[in-house]
Formats: sequence, C-alpha cells, structure tokens
Amino acid sequence: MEEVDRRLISVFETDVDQPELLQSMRDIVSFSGVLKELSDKDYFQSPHQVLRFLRVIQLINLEALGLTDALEDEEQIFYRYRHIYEYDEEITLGFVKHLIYVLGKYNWVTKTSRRIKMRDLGKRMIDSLIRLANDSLAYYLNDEVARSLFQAKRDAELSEAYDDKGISGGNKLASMIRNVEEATELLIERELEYLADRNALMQVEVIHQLMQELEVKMEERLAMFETLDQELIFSTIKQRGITAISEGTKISLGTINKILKFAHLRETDVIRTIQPDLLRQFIERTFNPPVDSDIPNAHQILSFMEQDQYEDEAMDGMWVPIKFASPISPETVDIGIDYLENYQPTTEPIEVVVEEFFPELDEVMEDELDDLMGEAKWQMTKQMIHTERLENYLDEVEEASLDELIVEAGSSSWSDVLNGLIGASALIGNKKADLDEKANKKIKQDHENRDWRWIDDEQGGYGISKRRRGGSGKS
Amino acid sequence: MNKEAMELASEEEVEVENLNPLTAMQSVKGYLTKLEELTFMQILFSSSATIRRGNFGLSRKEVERLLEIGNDEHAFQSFLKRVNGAVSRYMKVIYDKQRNQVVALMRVPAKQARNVLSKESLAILMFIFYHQEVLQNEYTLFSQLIQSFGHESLQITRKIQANLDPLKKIGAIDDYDDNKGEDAYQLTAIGAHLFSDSYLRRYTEFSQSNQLHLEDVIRFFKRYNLKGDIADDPLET
Repeated sequence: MEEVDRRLISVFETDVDQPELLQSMRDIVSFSGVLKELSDKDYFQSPHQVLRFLRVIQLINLEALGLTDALEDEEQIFYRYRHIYEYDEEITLGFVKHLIYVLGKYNWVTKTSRRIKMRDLGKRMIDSLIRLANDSLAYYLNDEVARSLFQAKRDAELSEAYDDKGISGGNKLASMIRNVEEATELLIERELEYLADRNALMQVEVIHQLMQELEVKMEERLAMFETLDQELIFSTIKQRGITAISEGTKISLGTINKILKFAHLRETDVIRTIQPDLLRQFIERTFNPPVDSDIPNAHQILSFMEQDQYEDEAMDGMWVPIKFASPISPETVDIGIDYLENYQPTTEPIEVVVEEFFPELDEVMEDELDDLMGEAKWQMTKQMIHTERLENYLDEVEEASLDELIVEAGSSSWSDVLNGLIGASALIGNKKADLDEKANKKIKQDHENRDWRWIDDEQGGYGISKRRRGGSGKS
Repeated sequence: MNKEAMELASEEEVEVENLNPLTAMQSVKGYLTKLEELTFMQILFSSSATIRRGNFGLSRKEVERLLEIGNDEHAFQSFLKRVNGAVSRYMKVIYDKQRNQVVALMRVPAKQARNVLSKESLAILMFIFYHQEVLQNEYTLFSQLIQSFGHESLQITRKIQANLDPLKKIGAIDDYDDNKGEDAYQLTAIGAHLFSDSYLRRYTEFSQSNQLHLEDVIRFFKRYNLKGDIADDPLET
C-alpha cells in the first residue's frame, strides 16, 4: 500500500466534460447497439440463438488474438463454425452475414474485401459479454444457498481484481456482505430441508466450504479497505459482514454435525437399556441447543424422521387433537340447495288463519247419559242454591226428617228454613236424595224458638235419605 | 386387533350409523400410494378446525347420547375400539377419564408436525412427559422447569411461560392445584398421546447415541398400557 489515499477511477467521480468519459459512454452505446440485436423477440425466446451469436463472435475473437488463421469472408466463418461446434442446421450463411453486418455497424469489426478483422472496441466488448455469460452459467450451476455464496465470492474476487488496481468495481464489498447475509438467511430456512434429505451432506459440505473460503476472503478484503477513508460506512458494513459469516459458518457446521451424528447413529449397535439420566440431559439440551453443536432440536428430529429410514416413520410425526364440524347428510344438503334455488320472498301481507278449536270428545255410553246430564244440571243448580250443608248433614246421618234436616243444617230462623227447603227440593229434584212422604217422623217441637209453622205437621215428618247410587253431591 | 375390529364394525354397522364414513377411510390405504397417502393426511390436517382451549372433544355423556346408548361401559368401549380399528392409520379417539372428554387425535406427518408447536414447547412437553409418565410424578412444578431449562437462555421465565401457553391451549397439559401456591402442571391424556412412537424412538436414540428397538422405547415410556391392558407387556407383572 504505497499510495494510501489514492482515488479510485470511477465514472461517478470523473469530470463530466472529460473526453475520455464521453468516449467510454459511447462504447456502452455501441455495446447496447449489439445487445439490441440480441433483445429481439426471437432471441429472447430462443436462448440457443444467443449462444450461436456468442460462438460466432468468439470465432472472430480467436482470430484477433492470433490463435487461428485469418478470416477472409463470412463463408469462412460459416465453415469454421461447423467444424469447431457441432453441425447446426440453424446456422446459415445468411445468419452469419447478418451478424457481421451488425457488428460492422457498431464498429466491433471492420470488413474489407479481403479480410474480416476485429477492432479494439470489439475485443473489449466481447470480453464483457463472454464474462457475463460465464458468470451466469457459474451462478446457475450452484444450488440456492450456494448461489448467493458464489456471488459473494465473485464480489470479493472482482473487488480484488479492480479495487486493488485503482479501478472502482462499485460497492463490491457491500454487495459481498449482502450476499453472505442472504445466503445465511437461506441456510437457516433450508436447514430443516437439508436434514430431511438423505443425500444432503455433500451439498451442505459445499456450502460450508464456500463459507470458510469466504471468511478468509472477507477478512482480506476488509483489511484492504481499512486504509481507505470510508470508515463511517465501513464500520457498520464490517460488523454486518462478520456477524453474517460467523452465523453462516456455525449453521453450516452444525448441520454437518447433525447429519454426521445421525449417520453415525445408524451404524451403532442396537442396545436394550435406556439410561434415564442421558435422556434427561438430552431433553434439557434440546430446548435451545447451540447452532453448531451436533444436538438436534425438537423440530430437527422431525426432519430426520422425514427421511423415512424406519418404516412409516415419516407418517408418524405427532398426534394432535382436532375437532371437525359434524357432517351434513345429503338430504339436508338437498333441502338447503332447493331452498336457495327456489326461494321466493313473500310480498303479500300475511293472512293469519285462526284455526277453530275443537275439544277432544269423550265417548259416553247411552246408559250413562242420564247420570251425566243430571250431574251437569246439578252443578249448574249448585251455582245458585247452596246445598252443601244439607248434603254434609245427610252424609252424617244417612236419613232424617225434613224438619230435622232443615233446622240442623240451617237454623230455626225463617229465612234459613226457606233456603233449606229450596235446597232440599233441589236435592230431590236432581236425584241426590229421596223423599219418603210416609215416613211420618217425629218433629221436634221447640216452638218457642220458631217464628214459623208447618201448615201440616205431617209435612215436617217426611223422611229424607241420601241416595246411594250416582255421584255424590260433594264437590 | 385391526381385523377383529373391522368384523365387529360390519356386524354393528346398522346400530352405529356414524361409523360408515369412518370405515370407508380404511380403504383409502388400498387406493393411494404412500406419497398420496401422506398428501391426503396433510390435507386433513390443514382442513381441521382451529384448536382452541377447551374447545375440542366431547364429554362421554355427549358421546353416549349421540350413540343412543345409556351408561353402558361395554358399548362405549366397544365403540372406541371399533372407531380406532377403522381409522387407526390417520386418527385415534381417546377417552380422558379425568377430564371426561372424548378427543379425536389426528396423525400429523413429520413434515407438518413442526408447525404444531415450537421446538421449545416440544422440549418442555417432553420434559413433563418424561417426568410424569416415566418417573411417575403426579405433577411438574414451574420451578422444576426453570431449573432444567434455565441455564439455556436469557429471560427464561417469560420464555417458558410463553411456550407453556400453547401446550395448555392444545390441551396437552393442565394447571394443577398442589395447594402450596406454586404453579404446577399435570399431563393430560392428550399430552400423553401427543408424541408418536417413532418420535420417541428417534428422540431417545439421539439421547443414548445408540439405536434402539421400538418395543424397548415404548416400554421405557410406559406406553404399553395405553393400547390395551397391562397384561400386554410380558415383562410387567
């Protein structure tokens, strides 16, 4: 590091009016002119066409480098193509001629009557094109995690190739670190997948190796940049880079350890005794095992089971409580569909039809009819005439004289006697009691208390007896 | 047991109408390749209702009502046996006597199983499972969990509480009143059944750094009596 504070050559930091800058911009226009040819719909849909294009340019380039004989005309290019690459019916003389025309137009080649020659501009441009294609190829040859890592490594190399020579490669360092971060994130996401894949060890080992290489590269690059005066931006970038790479290395290492441990397990003997203390320790460690250890956490064990090494292991993950909604019968579904399809809202006012109420009819035999009718009448009578006391009295004595009944059930006073007589006649009339006119019972002669007389004492001597049959008067 | 259960099922099909779709599931096995079968199970798993605390399973009374049987121990057990016989490859129905709940457990394949609970929750459940099923403790204290996992990370109290919560929600553990005013947890039947046999075997193999026979693992975790009687185990008297 002789020149410590030199400026890097960069298009962003050069004076706008400087002729060199304008020339370099013109180069890019020329580049894009050729690229425009390549951006045709045909080319986009047929990557093979692009490859043919590159091969033809490569032929001209080889000549320019002095590796092959001089090229006289398009025909020679055409045959050389068929000789070096496989026969390809898509390659025609017309195609080659068109290409040479385009390249000539943008000053990549000059075509004279005797010779087709590559110009300096063409050489530089073709280098860029081929490098672009090869970079992509290398990128796509890697798997997802490794891609980011490859990109990171490439960034480091480019930074090495350019920055150190005083030409800015752009923010290659930041790009590198971003790529490492992405790779680490992907690795965390994919770790369980790697564990579930029986043959993932190789892949993870590649990733781990890349990580380690990158760790060395990054340290180198970081050391170089410490001399440049970008410290403020630089310190955060550096911190991010170190964190990402150390995490990535730990995880890739841990994944390898776990895979190896699992593979090792499969080679051990089958033992019969289980040591509880080992199990307990293991449970405690699976709670949050360090990433680079060989102890899988509870989820990683499930990933190993996905390999299905023991029969049905992949199916046998866990038993989880569930609750399904209860099934609906086809009939119910039909009814539901019918309702939805044929539903018509009612627009007319709702008429309420009151149904008449018919009480249930009891069947009555003919011979019971009289009694029932009598009972009904009797109940009606009882609503108007109070007969309870007469009935109660009759219940007690079974048979009494009219005089006795009326006086005992009521009192000796005139009004009560009158009520009593009406009651008695109601009883007799409704066949609740029988009247015996010939009983000729004795009448109590307590005239001093009475303000009334029988017209004929004989009437007071009529006997009254309760009827046995039929409903009693009590209710 | 499977075949026997199938025969039983066809005999009593008329009696238990609900059994029909379940027995049909058994034939699924014959129609699908293993990969398709796995897919089918994943669909089932993703279609099931969200699990909420206390919102799974039915009481035994409810099941008996649906089956139109009275308090008939034999009929109830026979129902469980037959259902399990028919769908054992995908589901099992367990009866948790203590909580009086009949719960359907669905088999979740290894790939999906890690979506069910976090790795920390699983480690905690494994600890409680070991502590109660193998060591035969009645309950596990919160302080015991802290003691076991405490040296692993910061903010451990909150972390363990946060990871206990889903276990409670899924019904794998229940609060236990130890009358000492300390937080304690008891494993439920769901918790005891949650880990599959294969998982226990792999887990134990890792812990012992040796391969193991499935039967030995099952015996170690005292699982033999979950499937039948204690008499099933030849070494147990």
